[in-house]
Amino acid sequence: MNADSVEILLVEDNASHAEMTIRALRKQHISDRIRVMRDGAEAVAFLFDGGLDAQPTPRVVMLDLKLPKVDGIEVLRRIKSNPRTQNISVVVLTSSHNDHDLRACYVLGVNSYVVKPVDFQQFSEAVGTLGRYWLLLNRCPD
Amino acid sequence: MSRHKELRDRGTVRNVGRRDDAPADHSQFLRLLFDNGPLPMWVYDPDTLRFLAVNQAAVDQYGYAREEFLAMRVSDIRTPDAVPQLLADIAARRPGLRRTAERRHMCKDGRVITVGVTSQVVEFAGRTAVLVVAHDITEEVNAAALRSRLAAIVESSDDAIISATLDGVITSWNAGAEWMYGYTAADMLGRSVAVLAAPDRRDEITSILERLARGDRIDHLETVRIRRDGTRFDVSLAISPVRDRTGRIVGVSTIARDITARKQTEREVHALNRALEERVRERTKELDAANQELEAFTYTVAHDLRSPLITIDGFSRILLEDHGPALDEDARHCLDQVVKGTRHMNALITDLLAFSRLSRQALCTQTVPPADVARRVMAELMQSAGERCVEFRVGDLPTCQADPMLLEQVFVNLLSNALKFTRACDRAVIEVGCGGSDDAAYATYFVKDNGTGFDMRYVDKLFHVFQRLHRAEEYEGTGVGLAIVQRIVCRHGGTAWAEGTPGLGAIIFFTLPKADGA
Repeated sequence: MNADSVEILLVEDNASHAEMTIRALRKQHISDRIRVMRDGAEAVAFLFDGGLDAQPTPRVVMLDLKLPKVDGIEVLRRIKSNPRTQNISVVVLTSSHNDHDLRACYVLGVNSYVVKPVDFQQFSEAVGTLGRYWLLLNRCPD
Repeated sequence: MSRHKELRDRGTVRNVGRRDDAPADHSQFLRLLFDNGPLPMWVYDPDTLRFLAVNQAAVDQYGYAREEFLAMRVSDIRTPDAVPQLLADIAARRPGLRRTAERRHMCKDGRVITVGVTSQVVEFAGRTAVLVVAHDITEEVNAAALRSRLAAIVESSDDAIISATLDGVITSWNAGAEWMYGYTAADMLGRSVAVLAAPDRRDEITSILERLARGDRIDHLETVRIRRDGTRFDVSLAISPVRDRTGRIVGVSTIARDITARKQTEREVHALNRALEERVRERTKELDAANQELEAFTYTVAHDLRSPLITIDGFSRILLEDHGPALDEDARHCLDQVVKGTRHMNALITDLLAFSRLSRQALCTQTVPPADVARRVMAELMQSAGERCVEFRVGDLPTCQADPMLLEQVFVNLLSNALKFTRACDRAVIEVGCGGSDDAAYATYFVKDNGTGFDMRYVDKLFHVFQRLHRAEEYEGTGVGLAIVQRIVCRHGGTAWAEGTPGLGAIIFFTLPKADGA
């Protein structure tokens, strides 16, 4: 799968959570064009440092906030402040609720902010709903 | 009757002891002198004490008419306590003896006057009599007494009391001034008050004297003075103009109080306050830092403890769903236990976070009707309670001053507990009421159930985080519910307590500030 064909960019440092997310998306037949980034720096490099030839614009970024190196809020800021990437839907998927983070994300223009449910059924439903909505229902300007 | 005849009948005053043969016109002259003299005079009989003659000045002074006098005894114009002295004086009389004394006499209107009396034994109308000349000295005596009282006050005062002329030359200097400034009166009389001012405050004296000359008074002027030994000290001054009889300002009088000790105390209090404020600022900074650390810590706990739970639950479920057929009953049971444990752990983390957030969250209080809140919460809880037979009573509750969100949380926790612990009852009775205390500022509310209750021996554990009185398989829960209730009530300034009997039910009381006018 080349960078251009990525539909969902999953930025998640927890490999188990990444695997669970991918399983949920595949099982509900939403997409298998998923690419996993293991920290914020990797995500920024993937999106912005591929040179003129590779300028990937995934349709959805599923973003954890607590990430090694560059944190999720910084990744969000970079995406939303670049004209090429600002229309990418960014969904924050975080382990815990924090008012401060929530406000910061909305100021930066996040499209959705979801706390990962501990219950896997709910987790699976949440990921499925997000995927369906942002990939299949939502329309973005080209 | 001719004037001459009258005088002859009443006799003439003659000095006894002087063998002279004064002519009749001399006697007449004496009589005129007696009658018209400006000082009260009378003649009395030392045996009967009766007045024999009085002059016009005596009539004016004492208020008795001449006829009244002549019907009285001399003892009648004495104060009663002075009569024995009078009798003793008379007994000691000798011809020619002249004595002068200060006596207290009583006038017709009861007024007591002080008089200087001169008495002399004389011959009057052919017999021995006593001539008395009385001089009213009441005003002088009173003025002298007042002067000496004032002088005593001035002398015994700890304050320095100084008078000076309008150009600042000292005219009086009391003992307090000697003690305070270290100069004696002899040192200071005739010198300028300027020597008392600190060198950097000499101008102040000039301006004070100018103000006084205009008739101003100065009360409580705090300034600095200098002692003979050169040390400076703090004084509070009260300065008034001194006027002569015509009202002209002729000088100033100054009362100076040494306030060094008070000023020192003020400086110390000020320094202590500054130190205290500084310490409070430091502590606040430390506390802020500690709070920030705690917040970061709880965030980390919440995030990092939850993450593995998501994984454990997730993969247990994936195992059950995707590989269920390959697992036997026992393996599936084991996985169910893993999932249950995960859920419980998640509930613990959620409640613990809610509990710790309570301390930091700001209160937004308003007038709230607790009965409405209780009914709404109960209705919501009943929707997820399944088929239950519950009798729910809400009394007439006074409104309170509380944060509505937090009060709702109190009722959610208390009513869900009540529902939980009456699960085994055929007919649950849950009551929300008030009363039990007649505090003017706080209302006492309670939530009562007829459920499993508890043993009062363990009542202390009830409100502690994670403390539970029931085994997990009997009643689910994290043990944070009542701790949250107590923390919320405490943050409103109230208290919470519980009573219970095993098998008969529990009653949880809590107090909240009454709404104004409730």
